Amino acid sequence: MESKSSFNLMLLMQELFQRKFFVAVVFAVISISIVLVGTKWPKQFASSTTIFVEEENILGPLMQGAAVQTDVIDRASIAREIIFGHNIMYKLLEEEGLKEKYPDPVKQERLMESIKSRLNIANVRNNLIKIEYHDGDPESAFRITDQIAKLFIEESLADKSRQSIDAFEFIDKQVQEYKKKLQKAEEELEKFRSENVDAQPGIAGSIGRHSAELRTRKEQITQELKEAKIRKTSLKLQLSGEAQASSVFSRSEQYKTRIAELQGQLDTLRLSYHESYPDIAQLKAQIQDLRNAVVIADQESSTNQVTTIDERILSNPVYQQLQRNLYDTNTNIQMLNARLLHTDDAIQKNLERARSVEKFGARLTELTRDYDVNSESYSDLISRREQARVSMNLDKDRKGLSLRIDEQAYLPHSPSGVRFLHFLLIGPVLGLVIPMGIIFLIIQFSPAIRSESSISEHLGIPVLASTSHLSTPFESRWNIFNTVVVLLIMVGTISFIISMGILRMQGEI
Amino acid sequence: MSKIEEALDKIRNSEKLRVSNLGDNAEQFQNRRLTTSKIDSTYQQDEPVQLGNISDMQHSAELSSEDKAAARVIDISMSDRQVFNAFRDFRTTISQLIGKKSSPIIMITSSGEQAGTSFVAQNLAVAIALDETKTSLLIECNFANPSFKHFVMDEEKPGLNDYLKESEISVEEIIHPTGIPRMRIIPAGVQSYAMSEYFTNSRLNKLFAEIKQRYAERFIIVDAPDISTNADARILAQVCDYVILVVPYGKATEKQVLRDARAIGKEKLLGTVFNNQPKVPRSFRN
Repeated sequence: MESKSSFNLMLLMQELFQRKFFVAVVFAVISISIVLVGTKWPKQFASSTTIFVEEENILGPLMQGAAVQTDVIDRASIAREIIFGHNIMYKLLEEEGLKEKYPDPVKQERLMESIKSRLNIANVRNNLIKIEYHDGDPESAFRITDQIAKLFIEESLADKSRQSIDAFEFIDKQVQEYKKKLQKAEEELEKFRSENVDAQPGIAGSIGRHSAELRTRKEQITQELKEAKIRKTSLKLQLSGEAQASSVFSRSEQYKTRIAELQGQLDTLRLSYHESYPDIAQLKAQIQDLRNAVVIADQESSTNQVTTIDERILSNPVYQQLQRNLYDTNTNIQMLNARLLHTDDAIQKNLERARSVEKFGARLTELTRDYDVNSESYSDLISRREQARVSMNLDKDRKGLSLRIDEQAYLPHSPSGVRFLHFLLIGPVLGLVIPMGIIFLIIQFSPAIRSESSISEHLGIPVLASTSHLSTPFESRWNIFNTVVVLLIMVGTISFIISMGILRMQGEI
Repeated sequence: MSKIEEALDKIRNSEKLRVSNLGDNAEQFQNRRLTTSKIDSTYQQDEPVQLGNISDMQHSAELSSEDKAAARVIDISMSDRQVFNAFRDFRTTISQLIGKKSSPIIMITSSGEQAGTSFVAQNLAVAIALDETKTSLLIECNFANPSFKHFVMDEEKPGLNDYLKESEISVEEIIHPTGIPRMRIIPAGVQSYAMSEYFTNSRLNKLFAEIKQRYAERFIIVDAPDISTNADARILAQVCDYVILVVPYGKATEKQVLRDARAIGKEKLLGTVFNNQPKVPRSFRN
């Protein structure tokens, strides 16, 4: 491999010497033209500025928790979008006075393109955007860089302020919506309550308590009734025992005494109860019964002559007492029965009420929940809206700055980019490399045989001898003349380049 | 300098001496330049009836170094030793390859035109003649580009064409001395370009047969046109004993060389000569 490459180098040398005239002319033409281009090459002045971007976005803190924010990563490309946009470009042309100078929109478009091509926007670090602009005139390089940075910040802030206004408006709209929802929930709840009187919070509990009370009362009454019945039975037994011992008073007498007693009771009751009170009605009925009995007894005594009335029995105080007790007990039993009925009725009613409460209870819970949720969101949104209002006002006054110029644009004093020295160096190098490259390519790609080995090794035909051209004396002289010319061309070219460099240093070009 | 070269130098010097001694011969030669194409009887001594003795060969006035340089003829005193040595080595290689075979006819042809066939042929003949025990005969068959005028003193002398066209011309009449010791030439001739059918002519075979008879240690070098474009060369190749193919640097392609080699045939192709390699100044070598 190594021997082959060194062989190629030898070949290259051979060819270079064979074509020395070509090499010299190409060298001269290329290096001189590159140096001449260098003298005309416009000087470039670059100015740059950096802008610091704060991480936070206006919507971030406002909508924290309420909405998810997308991350912004490539700030330079966003900045490029904004700066290369027509908005800023037009403003720039206006500020530079180019708009009046070139009213033709096609020309303006071309100007914008040329500005864009000379603009370089890159992320220096995470939060730093570097804007670099180069121009032939240092003044305008500085001015345009400065202008673009300012316009960019202005535009970004306007955009941000627009954003915060949007945010405020959005939240405000939400507030209105929730307000309506809340009102509707309230109305519905109100309406439902007016339709269902019992629809009060905790109604189910009170009904339950009431029914328990009623049930206790009923048990109590039943108990009392049982007791009264037992007493009645025992009184009856006692009375029959007494009857044997004492004779019976005439019936009508007895009835009359009884009526008087009942009347007395009735009067007492009337003091504290209405006529409709069951006990009073009961008494009245008894009195009427007794009066009827008196009439019947009187008729019987007149027709059946004298009944055997044992005055002694009638006048027996124990018997009378017992009789009275028995009456009392009877009355009591009747009263208790009436109360029992009444209580049963109340229980029934209560049960019905409980049933109806159960039915509308689910709906009530739903309405109440709606109302609660809506009112919660509403109050939350209202507080957010106030925050948004503050942010919006901040942006309006440009107080919540998130962009600022970190490094001011500067006025460049020395040109940047490709310099004349580069042309001076590149010219001769290219002048040598290009013809050598051409010759190298010819050797590489021409199929013509250039070495013994390609005959002996590739074709397998022996090479008996290898000779070079034998020059005649005239040819030798011609060759020497050629070499001198070639050397002159080379030396002339190099001295031209050096003198151009010296002239440039002296500032004459 | 090698011993062989020293010996050769000695030979050369002695030859020069001899030539200067033969002052009358030189005069004769000068006179000959004035005469026309008529064949001088003095040169007909070239043909002995039996195989000739090389030391008995007549010599014409030798070419000067300047003439040789102008005609690209190698010379022992030349400054370009590279080319000189190349031809001497070439000669040695060929005699080794051919071995004992007497009077071999070696055709020099090329792949493509302008390959320097004549340059190779003449210098091979010269290199062979450097050996005092050997002689060489150069036959010019490249009629389109005759290039051996310097060997016949720039005169028009009867040659191959004349021989092939006119039956009355004998072999002796067309063989001329060259100004190089032990080297003879058959030039293209006075008459115009012979067509290829002359090569198929039995006269050519007769000529070759006769030439072979003359000296045992004679190498017959045929300078032929290029074989790639020329049918004459192919016909000639059939008549000759050996063929050497000249490959010019940077002109012929491998494909072309291979095709020409096949046209010649393995048994006749001795090998190739790689010619016209560009020179690099000595300080740049290695």
